[in-house]
Amino acid sequence: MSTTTDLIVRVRMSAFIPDAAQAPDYTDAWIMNELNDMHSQLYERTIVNSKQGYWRKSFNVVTSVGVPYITVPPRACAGGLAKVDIALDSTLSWIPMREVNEDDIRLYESNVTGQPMVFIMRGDAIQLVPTPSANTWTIRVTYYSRPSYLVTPQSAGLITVPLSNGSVFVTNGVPVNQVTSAALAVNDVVDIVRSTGWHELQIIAAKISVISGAQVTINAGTQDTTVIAAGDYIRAAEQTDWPNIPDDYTRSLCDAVAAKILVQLNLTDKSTALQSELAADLTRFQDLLSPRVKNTGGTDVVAPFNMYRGNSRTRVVKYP
Amino acid sequence: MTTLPIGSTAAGTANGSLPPSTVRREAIVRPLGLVTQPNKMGQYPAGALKSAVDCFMRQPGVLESSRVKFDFQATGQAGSPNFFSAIVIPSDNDMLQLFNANTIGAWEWFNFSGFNAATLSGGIQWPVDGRCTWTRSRDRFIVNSLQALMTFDYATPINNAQRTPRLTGLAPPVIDCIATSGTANAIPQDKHCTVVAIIRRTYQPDGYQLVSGVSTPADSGFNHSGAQDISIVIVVPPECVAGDVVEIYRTRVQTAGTGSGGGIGGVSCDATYFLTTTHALTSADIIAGGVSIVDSTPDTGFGAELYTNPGQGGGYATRLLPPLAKVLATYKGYTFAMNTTEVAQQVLSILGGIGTARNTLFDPPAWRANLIGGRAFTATCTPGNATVTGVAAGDIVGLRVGQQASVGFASIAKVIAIGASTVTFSIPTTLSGTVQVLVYDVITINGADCPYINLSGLYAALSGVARAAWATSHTLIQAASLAYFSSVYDCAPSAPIFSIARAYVNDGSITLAATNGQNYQPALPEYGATPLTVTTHPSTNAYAWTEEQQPEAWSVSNRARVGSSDVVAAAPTRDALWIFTQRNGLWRLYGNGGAVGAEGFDWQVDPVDSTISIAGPQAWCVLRDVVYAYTNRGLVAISDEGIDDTLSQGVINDLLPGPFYSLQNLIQVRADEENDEIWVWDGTHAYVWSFLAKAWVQNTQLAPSVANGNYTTQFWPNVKSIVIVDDNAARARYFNAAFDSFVQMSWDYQPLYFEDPFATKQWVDTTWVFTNEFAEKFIPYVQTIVRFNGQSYFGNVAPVSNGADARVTYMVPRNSPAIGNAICPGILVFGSLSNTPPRFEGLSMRATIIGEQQTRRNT
Repeated sequence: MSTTTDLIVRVRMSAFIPDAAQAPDYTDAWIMNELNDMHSQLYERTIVNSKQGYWRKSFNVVTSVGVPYITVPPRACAGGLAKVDIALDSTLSWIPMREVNEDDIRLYESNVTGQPMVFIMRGDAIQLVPTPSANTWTIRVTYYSRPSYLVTPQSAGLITVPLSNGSVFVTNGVPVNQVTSAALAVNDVVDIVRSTGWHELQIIAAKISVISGAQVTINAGTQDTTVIAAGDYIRAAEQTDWPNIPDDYTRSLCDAVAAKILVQLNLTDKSTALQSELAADLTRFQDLLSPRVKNTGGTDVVAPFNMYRGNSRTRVVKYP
Repeated sequence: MTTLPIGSTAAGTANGSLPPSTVRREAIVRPLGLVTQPNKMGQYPAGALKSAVDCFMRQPGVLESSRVKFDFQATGQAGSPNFFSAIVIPSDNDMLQLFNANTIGAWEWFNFSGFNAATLSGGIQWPVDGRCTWTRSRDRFIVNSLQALMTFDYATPINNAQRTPRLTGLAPPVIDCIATSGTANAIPQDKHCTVVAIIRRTYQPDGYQLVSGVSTPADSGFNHSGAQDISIVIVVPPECVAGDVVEIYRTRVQTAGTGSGGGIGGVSCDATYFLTTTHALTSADIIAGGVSIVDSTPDTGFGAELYTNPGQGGGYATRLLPPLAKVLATYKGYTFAMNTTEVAQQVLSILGGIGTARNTLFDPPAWRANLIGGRAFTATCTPGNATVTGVAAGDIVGLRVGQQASVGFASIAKVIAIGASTVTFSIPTTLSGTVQVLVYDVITINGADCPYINLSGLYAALSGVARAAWATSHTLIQAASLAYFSSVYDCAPSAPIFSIARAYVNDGSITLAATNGQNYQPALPEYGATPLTVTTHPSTNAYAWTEEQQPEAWSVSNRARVGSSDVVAAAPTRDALWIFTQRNGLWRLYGNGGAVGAEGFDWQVDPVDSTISIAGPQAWCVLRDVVYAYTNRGLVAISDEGIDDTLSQGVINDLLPGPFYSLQNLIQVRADEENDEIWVWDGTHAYVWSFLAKAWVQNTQLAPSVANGNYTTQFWPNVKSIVIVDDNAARARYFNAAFDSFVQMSWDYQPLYFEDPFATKQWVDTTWVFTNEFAEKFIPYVQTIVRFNGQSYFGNVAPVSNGADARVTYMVPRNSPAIGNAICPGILVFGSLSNTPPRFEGLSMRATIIGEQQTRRNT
């Protein structure tokens, strides 16, 4: 489990440059910036295109009469969406909505309001067509959240006891916003970050409503807070101690930054060598993303008769 | 400088073929010290430094931190208003500082535990323009003040008395003598006489003795009364101390002569004196200011000869007080005073003295006309009448207005008019009838009339003046302006050559006039006329020297000149005394010395270089028997092998341009004999040249605290350190070896460019290598700050690893800029409190050669 501190050390090792005190250009902050850039640039396309649920988030919006627009979440990867659904009643039985392009939308647009049937992407908003005529429909927007900014790790904000009502108990105190260095306070926007696995955001862009000692209560909107588990961390929004990729691929992130440094230093031999390794790592990473559940695609082997005693039928065993 | 492409062998690649990698590493760049010339933009040897601050290079290629300056607890009046340090002198246990405070000369001895200071009386001041010099001989320090040479008798003083200076040399004693009744009958029969002279000796506890010049000789008088002894009256000035010894010498008894032309009463006295007796002065003698001794030693009891006797040193061996000097040095045991100023002095000679009685045998007409002394004549006198009459025409000869008479008058009477047969006095006579009247010639010294009756009387007259002066004198020549003394060059009254001189140089001039002034050679103005003014006599190109191992034996004849310009410094080495002049360049004095008298001296003085000009009086020192001087050619090394002017010329000419001579105290050069280093102060900076490493560095710890403020410097062997007394810092500073603290050092290389200055490189990193000793001592680490092209990266404080491999690596920042043909790396190493200074051995650099396209892209 690599925190950003570990990543910086690994970058220095890969590029074989000394610590910040001896490398005036390559401060920890500078390397962190490079890691952030690579964090988003290197993995977003691969992960989003894999459509395997990584980084995928959704939220619900109840329509308002005469209001056709729903703002695309600012943290959506490239401002894009995964899908848009509509529920016609409180049972929230979702019906996919179809996106219409500018050429065809004119077939749907008019001054007549009613139940939204399709949507079109205009600017940073989803425009429902026709414009809602009632407050009874619920729109679910699904998108891929871009990776948070890597910041200096901190021990504060460890969730020990999550409650279903959105309150959590934290240890080591309330964390600080690593950008402003101010301790988180009521009305600050926070994420709940998983410290393991893909370091996914369990809750995104929730607002702190109450801080009472070690108990922090957040308003997660329509997000399901039951996903919060002990061991997660509360963090200022868009800040994370870990890259949002599996730990076993953080090396590629470090190598990418190191290769860039080596290019800057005109140490092209070393950079080339490192980029070769990086390319192989990314290919391997891409191969492993999809399918996420790898129970298909294996070779079917017919087990020989009597392979399993007590069962006379031939069984098909699937080898991955 | 060795540059090896990675992967290549030490032999490099053949035929200029491309190396297997573009990465190059400068194997090691060992520092060479400051090299800021020949120009700022050209190529320098690898390792040349453009700055090297507070580091020393005490072995080739290794820079080590300077110790932190350490202040003495206090240095007396240093820092007080109007304080000017003249010089600081290393003694064996303290430092002796000479300074003026509020224009009063003073001294202080200071060390770790405090100081002892006192001021000089008598208005003595030290020169603070760089002209205060000192020399050490017989464990004594001789220093030049503005008034006279001063001697500090103790190299390891333990009390205030021992710390107090005195005037250098012993003044000749003053005596008078007469034949007197006695029993031993030193003078055996009628019409015999003898001449007496004395010298004085003082003894120091260490066996050092001072011998004075010979007194004015005094004759015993013309013995008319049968066998008699000699009574000698000795003037004892306050500077004498109990235990001082006066040695009495006299000539053999002679029959009174009858010849003309000189001698006492016609006696042509011998000039060979023999010791007859000695007298140790007592406290009572000193309090009384004089002592009378009766000498009854017969000729058969004579002892040693006087040192000025013929066959001994001769008359010129008599020891005078030293001249004032602006340069002092001791070479082969002889102490030299150069750029001298002699006292105001007039050498006179006369044909002889004339007696007190009118006697055709001893008073022929020619004597009356041409000699100096008493003149008796017969006249008709009337009590109450100032004019006497009936003077014979032959007796009128030699009578002059201004002559004095005492016998026959109520008080001293002056001759105020002379007629054809009359003489008019200033007061009426008490004489009656036709009687003998006696008048004396008078010499007027600074307006005071000094009468005498014959040659002996002349000396007595002069002695009388001196006696009066000594009676009020002080060890430190308080009231010295009144002091005169006479010096007789050959001590023989039959050859009456004498001088009238001030006691000390800065006493000023002398005015002289005399009755029968035409009888002196040279002639003096007649009494009442405008007197002759005799001034001090500076001889800027003259030098004088003492007898061997006798730093206060300044003989008359030990004088010579060098060149035609001012002597400004003299540096002694084993085989030569190197003399710097203001406009005549450098001279070399050599020889084995000798002794005054027949042996003489074998000094030879040769011109060495007529165009070299030392920058100031203090701009020299001696190290390893080689003279180092800051000159118009920068710092040069001078020895019998010649002048090496490549030490700073072409190396740091812009920092030490080498000015021509000027009279100032700011430029000082000193030798650190502990570390074999030459220190050069230029008024603002202190630069250090290492003899062992042949390299320059700069030191701020012992630099002036205020640019062009007054300061003095010296190497103090007792603490093995350079010492600077800084008037503006109120402290004397030095490096205290017992205080483990090293100041931060820093240096910058001149542009480094591997083997091809025209190839563009991208500089990757620098590795600074320190000694293993450094690594072992400095646990856990010493911090450093790197610089590139003069720009510091202050955030980059890094430890130097503690281990056998002590080094620190810094990457070259992009905006240094990292891409260029050359780069000037530098570093600052923080101070430490270890007992070993951080030591730096060399710089290793890495770079990649890049093409023009890469240059554009990367920049």
